[in-house]
Amino acid sequence: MLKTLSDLVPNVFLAMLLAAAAIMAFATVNALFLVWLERKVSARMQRRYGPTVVGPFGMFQTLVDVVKLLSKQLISPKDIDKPLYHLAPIVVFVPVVLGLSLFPIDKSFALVDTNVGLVLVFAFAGMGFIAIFMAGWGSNNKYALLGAMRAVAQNIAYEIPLILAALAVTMIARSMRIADIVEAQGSFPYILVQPIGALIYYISAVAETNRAPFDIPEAESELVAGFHTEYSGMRFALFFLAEYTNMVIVSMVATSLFLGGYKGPLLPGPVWFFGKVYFLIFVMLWLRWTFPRLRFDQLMTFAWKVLIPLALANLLVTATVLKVMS
Amino acid sequence: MSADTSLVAPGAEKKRGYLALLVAGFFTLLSGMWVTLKNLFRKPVTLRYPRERPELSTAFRSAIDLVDFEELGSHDCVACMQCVNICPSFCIQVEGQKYDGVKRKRATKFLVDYALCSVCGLCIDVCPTETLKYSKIYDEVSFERDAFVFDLLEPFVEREEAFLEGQRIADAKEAEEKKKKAEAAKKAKAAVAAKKKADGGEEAEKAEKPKAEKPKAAKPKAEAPKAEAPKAEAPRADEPKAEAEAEAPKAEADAPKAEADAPKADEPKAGKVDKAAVEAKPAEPKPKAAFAKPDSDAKAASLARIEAAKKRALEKKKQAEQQAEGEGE
Ligand code: SF4
Ligand code: SF4
Repeated sequence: MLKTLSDLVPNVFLAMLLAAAAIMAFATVNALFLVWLERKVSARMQRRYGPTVVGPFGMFQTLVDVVKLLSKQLISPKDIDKPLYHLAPIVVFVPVVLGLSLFPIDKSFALVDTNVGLVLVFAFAGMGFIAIFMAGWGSNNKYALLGAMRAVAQNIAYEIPLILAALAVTMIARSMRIADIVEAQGSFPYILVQPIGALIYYISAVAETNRAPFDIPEAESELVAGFHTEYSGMRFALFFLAEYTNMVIVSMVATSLFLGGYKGPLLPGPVWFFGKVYFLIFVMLWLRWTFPRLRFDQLMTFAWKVLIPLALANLLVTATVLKVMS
Repeated sequence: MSADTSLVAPGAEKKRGYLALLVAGFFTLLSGMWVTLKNLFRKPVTLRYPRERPELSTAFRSAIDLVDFEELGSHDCVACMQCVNICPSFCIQVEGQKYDGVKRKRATKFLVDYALCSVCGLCIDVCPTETLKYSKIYDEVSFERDAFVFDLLEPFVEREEAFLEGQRIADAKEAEEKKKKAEAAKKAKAAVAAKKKADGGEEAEKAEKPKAEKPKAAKPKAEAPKAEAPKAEAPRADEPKAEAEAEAPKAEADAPKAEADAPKADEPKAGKVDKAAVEAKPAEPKPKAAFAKPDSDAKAASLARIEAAKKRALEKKKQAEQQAEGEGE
């Protein structure tokens, strides 16, 4: 039987505190690790060494970078929209933290278990873009604003195939509770039933995290740093943290929906779960260091002319097959 | 939509359908990912620079440097100034000094201004003792030009005393050996002179013939103890001659005759020495002959050394080339 934190810890406030602490710790350590991994993977793909000096294999390099970021002066530009500008880094981080709590990492454990888990995840993910727009608008900077507008346009375009692909899975599993979906993948993961859906989901997920080749909102060559151009020090670090945690969340969704979540032979559930998640993240890094950035019109063409029709067709075929079989 | 906004070139779009294009595009992406994946597991090609340095080509040229000869335990600059004179950029400064008991001059100051040097290599080519080479420095950085004036003697300063001491001993030994040789030659000549006297020096023509022959016969005797490189033979050949000539007056031969001998028997190299000996003959024949010998010997020794140095350089080059080839394969 699936247990949640509130089952294990009777006091609600204590449970909340514990969950927040655990998630914050995980998000931070994960971001430190992923930034290091990203540097290392990119370096090795380009046949460089990457960080080697601080700690084993340069692993503590990012830790040192955090110290640097913490000690940086926070610069606020003139004529900013103060509430929006200051709220944005917090708003971008909150949904990310919430999203992390919804996944069963083992047969018997999830921090939170609700019967609309999947909807919640996508709702939280959508909030992130509001924060990005707040940042772009509040900064009083044309690059930031352009980046934010691109982010929103991209979000609208890619959210659709993302959810359509997930919808096909919920139709097969007949549930929106993530634990149920994982359980429904009896002996084989849904990627075998839904190969096209899995692919569409994954591509859209990469676009959702604003990562190359879909990193148009922060295209360095055109927009300086996009929506976070005017953020420095720890505020910038929060955007960074949110981006890397977002990668984990979309990978967790993909793992739960298509790869059978914590299921796997021999090894315990959490090992399988995190193994799959980090494999998907590695593929994201791999994509980033392989492909060049898309042009904005290409990005839109790809979403509206390729992904959405395919996702709709996929949904239609799934529904038909399900109806015929039942 | 216009062709410009599509994902592929307009020509390709016509030939293939929508789905075929998607599939083809997907596999193109996969092939790109295969490339990066392969490179992920290959060895990095970069160097961790300040800690790792590239192996420079043997042809790499940089500021000049003094060669540290193993057998000398030091450089071999004799402050001859040839490099200073030939340098087109006027960037070498050399000063030399003569030390007591050491035969050759020794550089006491050797500055090179790398900021001026054009790395033309003329100084390296011209150096008679082959004691110049290219160094391999390539990352000297400074805000001041003076930082590039390199004192090439710096690494040798500590060893200089020891080197001079060793050189004194070696030179003294050499001088002693020469003295012995000179004495031996003198004895031989005395014997010749005695013979001549015994033969009866009245007839000048008769006296001439043995004179010309006997020094030649004496040659192998003089050489045997030396046992030096073949090159050294040529200059030595004239030593006994010079003495023989010096003794000519004793044999009561005419001065003009002796002089007439010299050009005949001499080899071109020895010409100078011989003439000097001939000119100084009447006044002090013996000391002059003694002076002439060490001088020509030094020349021979220096020649031999240069030859040896050249050989060494050649061998080193060959080794380096072989190494480079081995690595290349
Ligand atoms: S390499 Fe040429 S320019 Fe440089 S010191 Fe020698 S002679 Fe002068
Ligand atoms: S040419 Fe050679 S021996 Fe002569 S001064 Fe220059 S370095 Fe010294």
